[in-house]
Amino acid sequence: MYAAHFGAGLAIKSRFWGAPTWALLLAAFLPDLIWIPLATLGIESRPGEWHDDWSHSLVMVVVWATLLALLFMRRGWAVAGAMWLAVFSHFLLDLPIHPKDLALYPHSTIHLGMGLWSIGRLRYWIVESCVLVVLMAVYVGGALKNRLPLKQAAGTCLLLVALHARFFLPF
Amino acid sequence: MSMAAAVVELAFIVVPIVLFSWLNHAGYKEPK
Repeated sequence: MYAAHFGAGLAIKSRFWGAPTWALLLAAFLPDLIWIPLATLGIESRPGEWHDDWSHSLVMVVVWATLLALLFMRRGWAVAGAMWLAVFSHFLLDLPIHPKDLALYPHSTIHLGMGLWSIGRLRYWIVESCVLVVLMAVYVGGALKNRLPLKQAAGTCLLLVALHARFFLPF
Repeated sequence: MSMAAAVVELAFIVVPIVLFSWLNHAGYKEPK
Protein backbone atom coordinates (compact mmCIF):
# COMPACT_ATOMS: atom_id res chain seq x y z
CA MET A 1 0.00 0.00 0.00
CA TYR A 2 1.08 3.61 -0.45
CA ALA A 3 -1.46 6.36 0.30
CA ALA A 4 -3.02 4.24 3.07
CA HIS A 5 0.25 4.48 5.02
CA PHE A 6 -0.09 8.29 5.01
CA GLY A 7 -3.74 7.79 5.99
CA ALA A 8 -2.75 5.62 8.94
CA GLY A 9 -0.18 8.17 10.14
CA LEU A 10 -2.74 10.95 9.89
CA ALA A 11 -5.46 8.89 11.60
CA ILE A 12 -3.05 8.28 14.49
CA LYS A 13 -2.15 11.97 14.49
CA SER A 14 -5.82 12.87 14.88
CA ARG A 15 -6.03 10.74 18.05
CA PHE A 16 -2.64 11.84 19.46
CA TRP A 17 -2.66 15.50 18.44
CA GLY A 18 0.44 16.31 20.49
CA ALA A 19 2.58 13.99 18.38
CA PRO A 20 4.41 15.73 15.51
CA THR A 21 2.86 15.03 12.10
CA TRP A 22 6.20 14.68 10.29
CA ALA A 23 7.42 12.10 12.80
CA LEU A 24 4.21 10.04 12.67
CA LEU A 25 4.29 9.97 8.87
CA LEU A 26 7.97 9.05 8.80
CA ALA A 27 7.13 6.33 11.32
CA ALA A 28 4.26 5.06 9.18
CA PHE A 29 6.75 4.67 6.31
CA LEU A 30 9.73 3.52 8.38
CA PRO A 31 9.86 -0.05 6.95
CA ASP A 32 9.90 1.41 3.42
CA LEU A 33 12.49 4.03 4.42
CA ILE A 34 14.68 1.18 5.65
CA TRP A 35 13.92 -1.00 2.63
CA ILE A 36 14.85 1.63 0.00
CA PRO A 37 18.55 1.95 0.95
CA LEU A 38 18.83 -1.78 1.64
CA ALA A 39 17.36 -2.56 -1.79
CA THR A 40 19.66 0.02 -3.42
CA LEU A 41 22.65 -1.66 -1.77
CA GLY A 42 21.41 -5.09 -2.93
CA ILE A 43 20.95 -6.32 0.65
CA GLU A 44 17.21 -6.75 0.21
CA SER A 45 15.44 -7.06 -3.15
CA ARG A 46 17.51 -7.76 -6.23
CA PRO A 47 16.25 -7.96 -9.83
CA GLY A 48 13.86 -10.90 -10.01
CA GLU A 49 14.07 -11.60 -6.30
CA TRP A 50 11.73 -9.91 -3.82
CA HIS A 51 13.15 -9.84 -0.31
CA ASP A 52 12.21 -7.46 2.50
CA ASP A 53 12.66 -9.50 5.67
CA TRP A 54 15.00 -7.02 7.38
CA SER A 55 12.67 -4.09 6.85
CA HIS A 56 9.19 -5.65 6.82
CA SER A 57 9.13 -8.92 8.82
CA LEU A 58 6.94 -8.95 11.94
CA VAL A 59 9.80 -9.22 14.41
CA MET A 60 11.88 -6.51 12.70
CA VAL A 61 8.91 -4.13 12.48
CA VAL A 62 8.39 -4.57 16.23
CA VAL A 63 12.13 -3.86 16.72
CA TRP A 64 12.04 -0.71 14.51
CA ALA A 65 8.83 0.46 16.20
CA THR A 66 10.29 -0.03 19.68
CA LEU A 67 13.56 1.74 18.82
CA LEU A 68 11.68 4.72 17.36
CA ALA A 69 9.31 4.84 20.34
CA LEU A 70 12.32 4.90 22.69
CA LEU A 71 13.70 7.91 20.79
CA PHE A 72 10.45 9.76 21.51
CA MET A 73 10.10 8.71 25.15
CA ARG A 74 11.19 12.14 26.39
CA ARG A 75 8.00 13.53 24.80
CA GLY A 76 5.93 11.23 26.99
CA TRP A 77 4.35 7.81 26.83
CA ALA A 78 1.46 8.95 24.62
CA VAL A 79 3.73 10.29 21.87
CA ALA A 80 6.08 7.29 22.12
CA GLY A 81 3.07 4.95 21.94
CA ALA A 82 1.72 6.81 18.92
CA MET A 83 5.11 6.39 17.20
CA TRP A 84 5.13 2.68 17.94
CA LEU A 85 1.61 2.31 16.59
CA ALA A 86 2.46 4.30 13.44
CA VAL A 87 5.37 1.98 12.60
CA PHE A 88 3.32 -1.13 13.37
CA SER A 89 0.45 0.16 11.23
CA HIS A 90 2.77 -0.37 8.24
CA PHE A 91 2.87 -4.10 8.96
CA LEU A 92 -0.89 -4.30 9.51
CA LEU A 93 -1.63 -2.52 6.22
CA ASP A 94 0.87 -4.62 4.27
CA LEU A 95 -0.41 -7.85 5.80
CA PRO A 96 -3.38 -8.39 3.46
CA ILE A 97 -1.70 -7.16 0.28
CA HIS A 98 2.03 -7.21 -0.38
CA PRO A 99 4.15 -8.39 -3.32
CA LYS A 100 5.24 -11.30 -1.12
CA ASP A 101 3.81 -12.52 2.19
CA LEU A 102 5.64 -10.99 5.15
CA ALA A 103 8.18 -13.09 7.02
CA LEU A 104 7.83 -13.74 10.74
CA TYR A 105 11.52 -12.81 11.16
CA PRO A 106 14.45 -12.43 8.71
CA HIS A 107 14.95 -15.59 6.65
CA SER A 108 12.09 -17.34 8.44
CA THR A 109 10.24 -20.05 6.55
CA ILE A 110 7.03 -18.85 8.21
CA HIS A 111 5.25 -16.13 6.25
CA LEU A 112 2.17 -14.12 7.15
CA GLY A 113 -0.34 -12.60 4.78
CA MET A 114 -3.51 -13.06 2.84
CA GLY A 115 -1.94 -13.17 -0.61
CA LEU A 116 -4.41 -10.66 -1.99
CA TRP A 117 -1.69 -9.37 -4.35
CA SER A 118 -2.89 -11.98 -6.81
CA ILE A 119 -6.31 -10.35 -7.16
CA GLY A 120 -4.87 -7.91 -9.71
CA ARG A 121 -3.64 -4.33 -9.58
CA LEU A 122 -7.00 -2.63 -10.12
CA ARG A 123 -8.74 -4.68 -7.41
CA TYR A 124 -5.77 -4.01 -5.17
CA TRP A 125 -6.27 -0.29 -5.75
CA ILE A 126 -9.99 -0.60 -4.93
CA VAL A 127 -9.23 -2.44 -1.67
CA GLU A 128 -6.72 0.27 -0.74
CA SER A 129 -9.35 2.90 -1.60
CA CYS A 130 -11.75 1.37 0.93
CA VAL A 131 -9.03 1.32 3.61
CA LEU A 132 -8.14 4.92 2.79
CA VAL A 133 -11.74 6.11 3.14
CA VAL A 134 -11.96 4.59 6.64
CA LEU A 135 -8.63 6.14 7.67
CA MET A 136 -9.64 9.54 6.26
CA ALA A 137 -12.91 9.39 8.22
CA VAL A 138 -10.97 8.72 11.43
CA TYR A 139 -8.56 11.54 10.61
CA VAL A 140 -11.24 14.12 9.78
CA GLY A 141 -13.24 13.29 12.91
CA GLY A 142 -10.19 13.69 15.13
CA ALA A 143 -8.78 16.73 13.34
CA LEU A 144 -12.03 18.67 13.55
CA LYS A 145 -12.40 17.69 17.20
CA ASN A 146 -8.95 19.25 17.73
CA ARG A 147 -10.23 22.35 15.92
CA LEU A 148 -8.13 22.07 12.80
CA PRO A 149 -9.83 24.35 10.26
CA LEU A 150 -12.09 22.41 7.89
CA LYS A 151 -10.24 23.69 4.81
CA GLN A 152 -6.96 22.27 6.12
CA ALA A 153 -8.53 18.89 6.91
CA ALA A 154 -10.15 18.90 3.46
CA GLY A 155 -6.83 19.84 1.84
CA THR A 156 -5.18 16.94 3.63
CA CYS A 157 -7.84 14.54 2.29
CA LEU A 158 -7.47 15.95 -1.23
CA LEU A 159 -3.73 15.38 -1.10
CA LEU A 160 -4.34 11.82 0.11
CA VAL A 161 -6.65 11.17 -2.82
CA ALA A 162 -4.13 12.72 -5.25
CA LEU A 163 -1.37 10.47 -3.89
CA HIS A 164 -3.66 7.46 -4.17
CA ALA A 165 -4.03 8.32 -7.86
CA ARG A 166 -0.30 7.66 -8.20
CA PHE A 167 -1.45 4.16 -9.18
CA PHE A 168 -2.36 5.53 -12.59
CA LEU A 169 1.07 7.08 -13.19
CA PRO A 170 3.53 5.07 -15.25
CA PHE A 171 6.10 5.07 -12.40
CA MET B 1 16.99 -0.95 -7.14
CA SER B 2 18.85 1.77 -9.01
CA MET B 3 19.88 4.99 -7.31
CA ALA B 4 17.49 6.97 -9.55
CA ALA B 5 14.55 4.72 -8.61
CA ALA B 6 15.47 5.04 -4.94
CA VAL B 7 15.48 8.84 -5.18
CA VAL B 8 12.05 8.82 -6.86
CA GLU B 9 10.66 6.47 -4.19
CA LEU B 10 12.08 8.65 -1.41
CA ALA B 11 10.63 11.78 -3.03
CA PHE B 12 7.19 10.15 -3.13
CA ILE B 13 7.44 9.71 0.64
CA VAL B 14 9.29 12.80 1.85
CA VAL B 15 7.57 15.50 -0.26
CA PRO B 16 4.04 14.50 0.86
CA ILE B 17 5.24 14.37 4.48
CA VAL B 18 6.37 18.01 4.18
CA LEU B 19 3.02 18.98 2.64
CA PHE B 20 0.94 17.07 5.21
CA SER B 21 2.95 18.61 8.05
CA TRP B 22 2.35 22.08 6.67
CA LEU B 23 -1.36 21.42 6.11
CA ASN B 24 -1.81 20.25 9.68
CA HIS B 25 0.11 23.05 11.38
CA ALA B 26 -0.11 26.21 9.26
CA GLY B 27 -2.05 28.77 11.27
CA TYR B 28 -3.15 26.14 13.77
CA LYS B 29 -3.90 27.40 17.26
CA GLU B 30 -4.19 25.11 20.27
CA PRO B 31 -7.80 24.91 21.56
CA LYS B 32 -8.22 26.85 24.82
